[in-house]
Amino acid sequence: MILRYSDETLIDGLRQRKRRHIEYIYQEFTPVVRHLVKQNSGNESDVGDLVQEAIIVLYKRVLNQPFELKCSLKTFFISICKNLWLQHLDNKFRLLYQAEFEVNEPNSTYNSDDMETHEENNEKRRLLYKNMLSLPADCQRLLELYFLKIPYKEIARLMNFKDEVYVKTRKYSCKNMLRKRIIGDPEYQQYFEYERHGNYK
Amino acid sequence: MKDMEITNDWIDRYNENELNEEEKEFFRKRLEVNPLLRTEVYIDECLNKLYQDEGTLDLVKKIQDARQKSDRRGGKLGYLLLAASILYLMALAIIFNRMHYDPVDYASSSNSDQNEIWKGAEGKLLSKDNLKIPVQERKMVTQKWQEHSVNQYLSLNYMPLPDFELLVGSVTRSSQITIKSPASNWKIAAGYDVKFEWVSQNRVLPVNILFYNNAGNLIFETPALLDDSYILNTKDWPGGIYYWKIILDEEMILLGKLTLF
Repeated sequence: MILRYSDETLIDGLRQRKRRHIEYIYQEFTPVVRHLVKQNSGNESDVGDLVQEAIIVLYKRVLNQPFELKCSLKTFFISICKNLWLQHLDNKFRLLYQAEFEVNEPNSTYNSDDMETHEENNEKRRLLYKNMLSLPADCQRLLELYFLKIPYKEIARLMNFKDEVYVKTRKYSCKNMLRKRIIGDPEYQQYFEYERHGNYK
Repeated sequence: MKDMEITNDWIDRYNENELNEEEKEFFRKRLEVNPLLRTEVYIDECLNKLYQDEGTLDLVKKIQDARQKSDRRGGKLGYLLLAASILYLMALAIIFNRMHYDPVDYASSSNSDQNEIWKGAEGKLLSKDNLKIPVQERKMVTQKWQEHSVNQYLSLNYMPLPDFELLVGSVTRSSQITIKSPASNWKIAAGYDVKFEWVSQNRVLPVNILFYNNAGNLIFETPALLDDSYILNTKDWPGGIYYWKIILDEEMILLGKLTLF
């Protein structure tokens, strides 16, 4: 028997980041997104990236109370994906696709001007998350604990490190490793290159 | 200040406002002239923001897990499909093999015409005394073919029989009969007809043709032929090397080779 969730349950589950609801959304909505992406110059990797981004966008939307759906969650989700993919294509092949790709969802379904769907930010965020999750497990854990504002001494205890000085040194080296990985990422040039030439204040 | 050197921790400390005024000033000066450092500081700033958004990070991890699970499921499905395809192809190959390479058990065949052929030949041509090359007992023919069942390797069928190879093309009684076709070493695709044609100066004596497989076992014998030709249908014959003997008046005239590919 296949368990089905109502839209309300899914929204509530996503708001609380419940694993089973996230998996359900991924499993149920991905085939439609795959069709959309593959019909429009995308590949399997793009499908995964797009679904991930769309779930994040949806999550940020549902966090803002009150969140009201005017259509089914699936339709709303697909409209997010369409807008994200349109921006992606627009960014990549501006001239080629601008006239050809159309988003057929009603405008009221989803506001594509939403800050969260801004292509550049999304791609950059995806690149950063990708590298953050590629760090060694101890680095990931250490940085998470650090940003939870857990004292160095406590982190040392939790992670069986010698002392807080080691935690501090390890934190710097993990962050450094992460920055280097991002700079070394082939996608990096696309989203961060301009920063090199921009003025830092 | 001149002795200062930027180490790995400076970027973190700068973004977290942990540098003292002197260090900060030095760092800012370096930022102005070093675009890579500028980028690193920017990336670090972005990372700090993302790490502080604990909820989204947790969500991303869970999405990644869901993605991996989905990929694994897709991968498993792919492997299952591949395995199913291989099994299907293997089944097809076995069926094909059985259809095309299953030897016909002539001796025990229920086909009445076939039995008649054997009956007609029995006791006459399978006499070892009358042939220069001894003929195997008919019982052995069936047994040997059963041993070489459909599972035998195809290459086994193409191994020449040295005893017969030496005699391929040998004509023992050329004055009595002249063979027009096929050539003594004839190659043809399995399933095609092979026409045996000869000119006999003695039309009273019947001609028989005996066929042997590459193991030297008699597999087929024509009835006594009074015509000048005989068409052999190789439809049910597996690919491989065969030898044939033309017998006239109970003596071998010619031994030839037939390769079905």
